[in-house]
Formats: sequence, C-alpha cells, structure tokens
Amino acid sequence: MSTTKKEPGVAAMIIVLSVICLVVAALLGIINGITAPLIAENNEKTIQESLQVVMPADSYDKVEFSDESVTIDTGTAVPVLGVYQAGEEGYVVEVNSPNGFGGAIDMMAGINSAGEVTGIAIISQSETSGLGSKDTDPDWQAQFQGATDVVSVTKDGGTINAITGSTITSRAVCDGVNAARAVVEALG
Amino acid sequence: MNVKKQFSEGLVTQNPALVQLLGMCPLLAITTSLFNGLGMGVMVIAVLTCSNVVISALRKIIPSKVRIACYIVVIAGFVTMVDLLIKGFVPALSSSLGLFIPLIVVNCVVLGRAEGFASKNSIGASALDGIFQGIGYTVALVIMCVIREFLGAGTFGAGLLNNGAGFQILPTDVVALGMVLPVGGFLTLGVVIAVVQYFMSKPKKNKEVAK
Repeated sequence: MSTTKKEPGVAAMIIVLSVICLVVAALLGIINGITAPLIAENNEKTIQESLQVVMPADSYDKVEFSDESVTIDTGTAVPVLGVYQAGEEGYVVEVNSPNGFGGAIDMMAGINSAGEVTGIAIISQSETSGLGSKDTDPDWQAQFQGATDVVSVTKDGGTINAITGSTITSRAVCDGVNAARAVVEALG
Repeated sequence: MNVKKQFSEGLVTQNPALVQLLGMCPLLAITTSLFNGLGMGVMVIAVLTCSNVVISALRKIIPSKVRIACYIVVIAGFVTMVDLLIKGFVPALSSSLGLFIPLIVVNCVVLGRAEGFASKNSIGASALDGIFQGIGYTVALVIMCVIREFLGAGTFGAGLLNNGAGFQILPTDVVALGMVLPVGGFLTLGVVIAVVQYFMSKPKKNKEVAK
C-alpha cells in the first residue's frame, strides 16, 4: 500500500465489533432453534434406551421423589435426577454422582423388588477419554448386576474390580449405585 | 495463490501442530484413540476453514485494535454452531468428545491462522489455508493417536473399527498404561516432533555438505 491507512476512530471500532456480535448471535439463535428440539429428542431417546438396558419393561412411570439428593454411607450427598417405576419389577433411579474424575457422572441404576441391582447405565460424563470413559463398557458394568448390598471397589474392600487406572471413576459409579439403592429403600 | 506451496506448508513444513506448535492442549488430551483424533480433526478443519473465510472477507472492515475480539467472536460462533449441530445430528460423537468441542474456541491453531494468514490474504487462499492446515493438524492428531493407542491399550482403531472395539494387537498385560495418561502424551509428542525435525533438516544438511 502506498498511502498509510487511516486509523479508524473509536466509534468505528464499537460499531464493527457490535455488528459482528449481533450477526453471530442471530445466527446462533437460528441454529439453536433448529437443533434444540433435536437435542431434547436425543436426550429423551438416550433416557428411554438406558431404561430398557437397566431394567427391561413395557413402560415406565415417573415417580415423584421429594428429596433433591440422598446421602450415602460415605457422607456424599448425591443429587437424584429422576425415579422411574418399572411396573412390579422395581425402580430405576437416575442420579448425578458428584465425585467423578472429570466432574459429576449422570447415571442410572435399576434395583428390583428383591433388592438386586439389575443393571447400570451411564447417561453422560466427562471422564478421561480412554481411561475413565471405559465405565460405559458393558462388560465392566455387568459386575454390578445382582449386587444386593452396598457396593465398593476391591481397593476399598468391596467386590467391584475398578477400571485400570480409573479408581476414582469406579468409586463414583459405586456411589451412584449406592445412592440409587438408598432412594429405593427410602421409597420402601 | 500457490496451492502446492500451501499444501506442503500445511502438511509438513509449517504443520500447525508439529512445527508451529499450536493447539497443543487438545493434541495432548484427546489423542488416546483413533476415533477421537479423527473426530477432533474433522471439526478443526470445519471451524478453521469457515472462520478463515469469514475473517478474510472482513479483513478490510475490522479495525486492527479490536481485531482479536472480532476473531474470537467469529470463532466462538462457529464452534458453538458445530457443537449444536453435532449434538443434534451425531449424538454419539458429541458424547465421546464432549468437553473438547467447546475447547476448539481456545485452540490456538484457529486464532493463529486467523491472525497469521486470513487477515492478510484473499478469501480463496484463506479457505485453502484452513483446509490444508486443518488436514495437517488432523494428520498430527492421528499419528499421536495411533502411537499412544498401540502402546497404551494395545489396540488399533478403538471406537471406530471392528464394531468399536478396535483390533487388539498387543496383549493387554504388556501395554504401558502411562501412554494413554497425560505423561504419555508429552513423551509421544516429543518423539514425533524430534523425528519430523530430523527429516526436515536432513536435505538442507546434505546440500551444505555437497557445496
């Protein structure tokens, strides 16, 4: 350039930045409008599929649970996200186990009328990819099935083999299962 | 516009990850399986190309004093769009990469190319730059993934091939778990960069000797 560009004034800066922000915000609003129903649908689908995995039943009734969280033996307060009754079979409890390695683990556990764990499912998590995220492995989850008492990892004297290198994640999943049991016991 | 030069720069001589050392955070954090590496790479290509085009188109309008703020707004906008679209249409990828999608906003590859290239070049060149630099970054991600997955878990293509289980190459009791942990990321990155630097400096040395 032969002539030096004139430095724009403060007003120009404010206007350009504001216009860019407004355009971006408007576009995001439109995209959010398109994807929000899809995302809600996906979440609902995940929950329905997880319910089927945890405790197969024809239909599930949402049960009102008065407390927002339950306190388990270790003293951890675990928020309860939802309780579903699977006919006469038992209950499925969705909890948000708070002490995962990468934050809370949103998970489900089914407890049948005999007090046995019928299965667990991870709804969403932020565990380390390749380590803690292996808690979604069905083979690992299978060892929770049939547990009739409080569960804990072998390092803590329990029966659950922790995921290699991810004891914290494994403990958090145990917390979730124990919280589900506590909820079901509270419901009677 | 020099397509060939841009291509070789993006992939090798100016590889964003291995030579410019940009975007190290996701490179170290997510490169534990092939699926993660490819997913992240494709998203970086998409965001980088879109943001490069827009920033190049606006390069004469944006005042230089507020340029970084403008770039970040544009980049964050695209990342959020990609995040929402993936959540809506490919929920499996979203649950696997989770946290790392929003992290593309602070991936310095994107901001680095916006500041270093798109703000000075035409729209077409910037689009090509986005694609080639993105591919270069993806290649680096995939190399890291393959090495770490092989040494750390003994598998190839976990989450992608063989119904998501990947192919078990090494038996699980001989693998070094440390390789999937952050420490393995640093070790692998160091070795990969060293190898790339060795081969890049080799031809130059030979020429010097010939003289």
